[in-house]
Amino acid sequence: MLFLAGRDRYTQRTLLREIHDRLSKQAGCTAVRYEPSSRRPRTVVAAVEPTAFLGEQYDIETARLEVRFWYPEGVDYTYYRCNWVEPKRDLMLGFHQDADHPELGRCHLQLDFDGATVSRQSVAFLDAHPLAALEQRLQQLPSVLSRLSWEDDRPSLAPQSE
Amino acid sequence: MADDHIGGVQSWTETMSARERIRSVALTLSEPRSTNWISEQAETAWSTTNQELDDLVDRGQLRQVDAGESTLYQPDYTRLLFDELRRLVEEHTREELQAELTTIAEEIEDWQEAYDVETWEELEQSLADDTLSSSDIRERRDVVQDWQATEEDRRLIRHALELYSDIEATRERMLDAADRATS
Repeated sequence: MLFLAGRDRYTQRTLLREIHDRLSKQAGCTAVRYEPSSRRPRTVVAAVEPTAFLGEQYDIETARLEVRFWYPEGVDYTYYRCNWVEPKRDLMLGFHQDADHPELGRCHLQLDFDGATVSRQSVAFLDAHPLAALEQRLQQLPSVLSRLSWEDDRPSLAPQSE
Repeated sequence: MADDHIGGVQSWTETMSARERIRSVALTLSEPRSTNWISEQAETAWSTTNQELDDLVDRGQLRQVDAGESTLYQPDYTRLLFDELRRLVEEHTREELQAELTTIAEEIEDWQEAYDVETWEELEQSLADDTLSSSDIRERRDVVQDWQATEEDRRLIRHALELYSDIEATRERMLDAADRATS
């Protein structure tokens, strides 16, 4: 795919506004904002009340969603990171579609805890529009979070059942 | 993984109308796509999608691309650019835009100092350095992407500031003309 110079930055900004609108309408999401600023949006960040967001009781009272999409040069699909962050437990669980771990395929699920990566698992690549891909990842979050378990105050992520 | 949805998170079909989803998908396409593809992605009926795409073409937001026997759609990218400039001018003061340029300059200076390079191209070239660990490479790759995006933002904000001056100058000329007419 041939991109026009600069074109994708405008598409990306439009896309981030759509994501901002989508999360603003989501139950349990509040204080939706852009980072580093609304003048140069790169990531959409929402404060999350997990119980309202997931529709069921959750151990932690506050979490955060961080969503970023971008169009790398020389790659014919979109890169993204869709992260569920729990500052209190220093935990991050995110879908990452980027160039970081090609051995896991084009998209992987990453669990970070206490400043280090605990595990990475390959997940299916979605050949979809960014908003449709985000939609599927948001829908998958509850079941992914339900696979988290804790032992000796350390998290682990059970493999996805077939 | 589509079947592992266990409920809780609202679907966009609950939070947005079909026409809203079509607009959202169509106006953020990075390549020309067909009505079929857009309706599939937006989870909308073909007829509704076709009608909404035609409306967006009529309003100048989408452009049609002839691809053999089929018609594809893509956003009017020039319009996206001007919409961005207009949004920056309308939603931010000159001071805010100038402050953002200062922040950008500081960020770039920090990267230049941290990696001992002048440009993101130089930093990108350093990725071939065999002595870097995989985590160093990932970190540098992230910085290259941020740096590129930051430079594109800087260009856009500078354009917006130039537009700001033109708008202010035009307003002043109008006020001067009005003063002369009434004095």
